Amino acid sequence: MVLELAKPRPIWQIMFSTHHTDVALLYTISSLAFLFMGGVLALTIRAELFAPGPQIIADSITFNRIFTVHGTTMLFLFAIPFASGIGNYLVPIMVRYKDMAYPKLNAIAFWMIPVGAALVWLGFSDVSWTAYAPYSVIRAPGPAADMWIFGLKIIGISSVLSSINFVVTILKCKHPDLPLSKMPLFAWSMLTISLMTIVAIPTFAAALLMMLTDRLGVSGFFNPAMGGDPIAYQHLFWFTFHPEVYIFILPAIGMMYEIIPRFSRKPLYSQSSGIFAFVMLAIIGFASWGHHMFATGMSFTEKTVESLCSFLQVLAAFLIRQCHLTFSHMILTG
Amino acid sequence: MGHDTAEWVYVGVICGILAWVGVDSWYIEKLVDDVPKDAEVIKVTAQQWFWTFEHQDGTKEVGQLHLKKGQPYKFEITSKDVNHAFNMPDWVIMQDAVPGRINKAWFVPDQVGEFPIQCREYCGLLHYNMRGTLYIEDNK
Amino acid sequence: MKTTRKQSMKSVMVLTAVTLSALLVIPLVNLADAATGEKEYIKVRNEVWNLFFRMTTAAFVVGAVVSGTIIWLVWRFRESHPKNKNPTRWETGEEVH
Repeated sequence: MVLELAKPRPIWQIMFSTHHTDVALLYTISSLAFLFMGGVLALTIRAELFAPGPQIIADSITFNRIFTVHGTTMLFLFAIPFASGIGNYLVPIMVRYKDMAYPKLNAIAFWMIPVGAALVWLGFSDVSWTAYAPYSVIRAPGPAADMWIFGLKIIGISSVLSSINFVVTILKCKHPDLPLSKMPLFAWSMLTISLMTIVAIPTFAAALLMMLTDRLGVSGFFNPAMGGDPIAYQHLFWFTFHPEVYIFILPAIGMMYEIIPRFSRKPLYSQSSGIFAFVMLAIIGFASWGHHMFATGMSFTEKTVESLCSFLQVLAAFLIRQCHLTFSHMILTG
Repeated sequence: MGHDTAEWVYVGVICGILAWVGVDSWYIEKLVDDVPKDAEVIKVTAQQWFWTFEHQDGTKEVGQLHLKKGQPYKFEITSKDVNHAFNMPDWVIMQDAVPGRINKAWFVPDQVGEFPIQCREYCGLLHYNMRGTLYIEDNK
Repeated sequence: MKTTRKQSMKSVMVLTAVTLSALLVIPLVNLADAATGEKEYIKVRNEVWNLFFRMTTAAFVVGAVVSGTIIWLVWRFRESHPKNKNPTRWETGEEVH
């Protein structure tokens, strides 16, 4: 990126490139653009809520649409592409390969994001970012909700494609002299979240399809009037989006693992316990989705089981904090 | 103190804190989950965008609920259209109202007064205004 | 200066232990009090808010220890700290793996 500033290229050379640094640049720039667009919506929400009663937004439906698009933008158009951007730039360098494994697939995965983003922003739906059934099925107005469904579908496919790319790049294109156990922890975090994405996203993709056919009236998976169960949607949704929380946070932890040892001028306390924590978090992350649903009328047993899983999850998250052991290592050795 | 000792002390302290947090919350949750036998049943029905309450003797109220101080009440919460959530912030009661399901919550009012009831699950156009009032009156 | 660091570490650990054990003892005392009173319904909102404040105290104590460690570390191991004049043995370019 420093090179870009020293010797600028015309923008189309970057846009039509499939090289991993160029795609990374596109990912990073567009995700930052979406961060600011979502941020404008957030400021609008806060300005509206500055005092009780209507302030600057004409009616409640517009307000509902604004917080929906704000949430969707921040999670799907900022958080995921930003991690992909940094990963695209650094992972091939960290595993010492010339590019991503599938450069064209990489560019395709990126160019699906503007399409999905256009659907979400032009539709401006009011389903809220969770799109809980049956509201999203029986009451959400017009083409907006359908555009939201298709937009998220496309973004989901894009993130699965880029995850496949990361997994193949890391596992198959890694330099033979570099064992997995010595691979930098940021590359490990990208490997972990890519595997998590491949496991997690299909559940939500299925839920989106069911929601679409429900909206068309040909099925009733989530529509109680047709014998469906709205809670089933929440299970499918959180089974994807609880792991998704770790997909958002792990690249940041990976960056911490790279940055803190460098700037504190000490080696990482233990590479292997970092890898262990990532893998544990990835596995247990799939068991604790139910703690998002405690108020939906779970039985006491369900609540107990889900709490236990969540505590295991917190334990795994604390293992991540073993970079604090890097710190205590410094304290102990002076 | 070697490196391994530090790591095991760290893991041990965290397991201890987590175990205490888990047991304490589990115990309170168990207490709260247990509905008293003599509780009076109030059927709560949510729909876009108002609340209907049905007392045990069949009287219905819309948008307001009159209860007696000192009497235990059990709410049976359901919805007619989309998801809502029955919330009385002053009494720490929040339970989703899901169509096709009956969820329960209970409390014993120990204070006379007027308290807000609100919807806490996004339910469309007038969600922000889906409110009710709880009136708690003296039992005498 | 070695002793002062040890002492401050010790006081942090003691403070943390005292707070956390107080959190453990308070509900037990309340439980004993409740046992002596006449049979009554539990007050849901009191139970839930008490739990909330116990958990919040625990969370803030842990958070203070964790973030305090990070802040101290950043201050102590910054490059301009007087004690960091000499490069560490990991920075001298010798083989460390």
